[in-house]
Formats: sequence, C-alpha cells, structure tokens
Amino acid sequence: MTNDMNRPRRDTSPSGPDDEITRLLRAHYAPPADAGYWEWLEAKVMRRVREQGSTEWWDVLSGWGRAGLAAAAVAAVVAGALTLRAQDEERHVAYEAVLSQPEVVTLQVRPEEPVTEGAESVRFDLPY
Amino acid sequence: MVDRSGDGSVHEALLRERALVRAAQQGDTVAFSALVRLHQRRAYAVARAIVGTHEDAEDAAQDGFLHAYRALHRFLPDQAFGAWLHRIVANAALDLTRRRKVRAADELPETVAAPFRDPGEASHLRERLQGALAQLTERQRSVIVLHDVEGFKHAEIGTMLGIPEGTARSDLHHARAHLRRVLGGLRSEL
Repeated sequence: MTNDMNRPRRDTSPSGPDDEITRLLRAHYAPPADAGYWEWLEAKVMRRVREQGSTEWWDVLSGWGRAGLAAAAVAAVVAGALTLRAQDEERHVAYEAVLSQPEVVTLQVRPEEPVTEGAESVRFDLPY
Repeated sequence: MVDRSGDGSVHEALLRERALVRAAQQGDTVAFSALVRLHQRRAYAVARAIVGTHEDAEDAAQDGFLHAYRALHRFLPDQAFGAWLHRIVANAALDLTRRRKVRAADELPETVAAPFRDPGEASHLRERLQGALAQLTERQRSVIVLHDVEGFKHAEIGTMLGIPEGTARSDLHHARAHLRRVLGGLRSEL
C-alpha cells in the first residue's frame, strides 16, 4: 500500500483524465528510451530514402527504355505501312501503265469489190 | 513538433526547421536526415497510438517519413512541418492497420500487443490495462493515447485520423469512461 499523500491528484470529473490510468498508459506506450535505437531508426529511414532515390533514377531510365521500345514499335509499324503502301503504289502504277496503253483501233475502209453505185461495204479490222 | 531541448528559442527552432525543410526540398538528404532526427520520436508516438505494437509503429513511422520525402515538393513553407508530417505518419499507420486487419482477419482475436519496454508495473496491472484497452475500438484507443498520453488537441487528432473534432471528443469521453469503469479498482492495488 502506498502513501496516499504521494499519489498524483486524481481528476474525478466524469469526463476528465484519470491520473493513474494516464500514468499506466504513458508507461505502456512509452517509446524506446535507448538513444541507439533512434540513431538506428534514423539510419534505416535514410537508407530507404536513398534507395528510393536510386530506384527513381532507374525508374526514369527504365521509363525511357519503355518509351524507346514503344517508339521503336510505332516506327516499325509506320515503316511497314509505308512499305506496303509503296508496294501498292508500285503495283498500281504498273497496272496503270498497262491499262493506260492506248488501244489502237484502226478503221480501214477497203473497197474489195468495185463499188457499185448505191452499195458500199465497210470492213472493220480490229487489232486483236 | 520542434525539438525544444536545445539552447535556441522556439522561434529560432522554427526558423532552423524551415531552413532544413527548404534544403531538403532542394534535394539535400542531410537536411532531411536532420528533420527525421527532430521528428522521429513524435512520429513513432503517433504511429504507436494508432497501430498498437512497437514493430508496426516502427514500420509506419518509416513509411510515413518515406511518403513525406516523396511529397516534400508539395509542402508549403508557411505550414507547420510537424503537423503535416503527423498527418502523413497517421495515414501510413491507418493504412498499415487496414492491411494487417485484412491479413489477420481469420487468425487472431483483437488484442493489444505487449509494450516494447517494460513499464515497470506489476504484470497483473499490465494485463488488466491491456484487457481494458482491447475492449475499446481501435479509434477510441488511438484517440485516448493521442490526447492523454501525447497531448494532441481534439482538432489535431481529428485531422490525423480523418474524423470530425466532435467525434474525437466523443471517443475520448467513452474511452476514459470505459477505462475508469474497468480499471476502477486499480488504485487499491497500487
């Protein structure tokens, strides 16, 4: 049994803190008292901060790498599309060249028989 | 909160802290390390009030500092760095609690872990306190520790825990009443 005179005064209001309970809570939730612990924690936080810094650096580079790959893929697709289009155009030009050769239709009027008056024969000679 | 144990006044300490924050914002990790040194005890206490165990408080404090470092460019110099940091640490602690809850939902009953340091109390008193704390909701427990142990105001607690100030006040009232009721015979045992 402890001396009542030495006890901290208790707040007896229903909503106020109870000194004894507060003292127990303070002891229960007391942070580590060892200075070495705090030096260790600070070092651990800073190691994580520095690791994060280096990670971000690699992230940037890998980000660039990813962007580079994406750009290369787009370039490959564009190049492929352009090649196909060029080939199409070549084919088209070739067809055009063939199709645009003028068809020669000669029309000859050759009298085979003496032309009689009032009667004429006309003969078409097609080139195929 | 600024360390006031040094020779300088509070104002000087604030100026020094602002200089450290500015330097850290410009990428000075030594300055950030000094900020960690200044604030880690308080950050740990905030985390511990929320997560309950020493190990989780350590993790949450570290996560909080890391988040703060990442978000440092968004910190405005006219803000109080401590309050800003405490909100971040509290978020990290709440996040950790949520993750732990999901993982341990089917494994463990709700318990309050043993303290990291022997508080010097008789073991049965510690057990009674832990039992009484375990009967509180997590939020009530956080509120009473942040208020009665760490000395934060209702509004600050509300901001940290993301609850209205009135809710923090009400939680504190219920938590105190509960502990008083459960630990009512405590004084006769001391």
